[in-house]
Amino acid sequence: MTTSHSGPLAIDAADLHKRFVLHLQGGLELDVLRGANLKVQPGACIALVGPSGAGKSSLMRALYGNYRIDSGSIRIAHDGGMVDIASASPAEILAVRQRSLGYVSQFLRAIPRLSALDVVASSAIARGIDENEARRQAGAMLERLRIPAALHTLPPITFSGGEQQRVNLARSFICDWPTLLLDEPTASLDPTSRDTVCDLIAEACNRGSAIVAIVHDPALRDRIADRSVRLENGATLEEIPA
Amino acid sequence: MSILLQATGLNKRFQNIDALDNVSLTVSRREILAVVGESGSGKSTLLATLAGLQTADAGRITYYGGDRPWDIGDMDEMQLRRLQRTQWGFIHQNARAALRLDVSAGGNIGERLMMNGARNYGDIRETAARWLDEVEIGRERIDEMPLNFSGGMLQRLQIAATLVTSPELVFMDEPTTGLDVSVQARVLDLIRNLVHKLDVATIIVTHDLGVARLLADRTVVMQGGAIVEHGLTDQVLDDPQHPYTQLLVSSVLPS
Repeated sequence: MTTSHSGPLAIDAADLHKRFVLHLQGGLELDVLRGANLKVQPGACIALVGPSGAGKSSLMRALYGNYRIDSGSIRIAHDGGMVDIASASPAEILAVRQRSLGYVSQFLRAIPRLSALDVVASSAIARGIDENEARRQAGAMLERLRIPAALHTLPPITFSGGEQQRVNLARSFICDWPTLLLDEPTASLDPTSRDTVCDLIAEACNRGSAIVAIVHDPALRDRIADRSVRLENGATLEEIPA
Repeated sequence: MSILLQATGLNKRFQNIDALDNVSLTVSRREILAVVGESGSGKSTLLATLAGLQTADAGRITYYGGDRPWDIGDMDEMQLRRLQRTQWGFIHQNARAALRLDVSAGGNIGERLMMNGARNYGDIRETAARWLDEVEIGRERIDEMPLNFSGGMLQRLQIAATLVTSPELVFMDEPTTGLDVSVQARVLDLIRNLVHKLDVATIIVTHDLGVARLLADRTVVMQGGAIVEHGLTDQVLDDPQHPYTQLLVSSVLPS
């Protein structure tokens, strides 16, 4: 990396390596991360780009502590300090995820019987917001993402792909995350919803959130990202000025 | 997070089989821990041993929930019973065997309250009624014998009869396994809500990785009586590292 940074960082990930050993395939080894680095400052939006299989999702999952890396460090701003996700205890990782680090996967993992409104409100309640206020905010956020009120009381399992993705986004954008990871946040969205998500990302950055997003569409990348980080064969190669 | 229960070096042999092979684990307050593995992996033996229902050949289990740490192996029968009915709870796979089917639904809940010292009939009945509502059986069925309840209702009654005294630690052995799939989601959702609402630490044994995903903060994987992998539930399920965990995860049919 050639870019130098001053000031505090929200993410400081250095020299990440991750190898999958597939025991059911005769011990086949897959090196999904081979020297990935990422520094993100508060208020910045970074686009992760690169071909399929380059390691974008793996890097994002490593940042979230979902994939356990073999070497390297992943320092995430948390409660005024930095926590190394790579060496933190399970309880510490859960605390970071509860207060400091949000993640929007590509697909909603819905909970049986829980309504869309409750799915969205529960993430705010988990962060200490009063239940009534959380439900009010959840309704407003769902409206903003154009989920009609008639659907709010239904479990999202029956929703379309695009509707589920918007519920997933609403669940994260209802909270003011210091750091937010977005895995293809607009993949199955119509143009109007896509505009809304761009607005939400911009608003979050203005409030000081650090955002990392996997984005394939160059036009979208130009709209939301301050800079891009390219991955190839599991390594971060260069940073292209957006 | 402070540790509530700690087990170290548990061993148990049945004839030639290692039912428990040097098992160590901890559970913190308010934490939900899943123990997953196939039939015969030792997970139910582990649960029964942790809950003091059977003894290990070697090892130590310490409970930190009371006024002082208790070594389960050092407790006499009376002390252990007292702990099991006041600060602990156990939810069995087979609710029919755990409940008293010739005692009314309200009576099954009230019994646990009375074991914990409740004496006022009106209070006991009102608490039982509230819990029947809580587990979606409905207070109007308080005087019914559970004999004719469906499997799902029986399991919900067992949950009410266990959680009514707000135990600090609950052991659950395959609580949804015997139920119809359509009923499982409802019981799971109920468990999820209640354990979070009551802040009760839970050790849940399940062969269903979806149950672990839905409920558990952390998951341990057992094979041949030993813990072969442990971590945050999403780490274990999304990035399984032990061959046996990889086999378990890859054997689940996507839905």
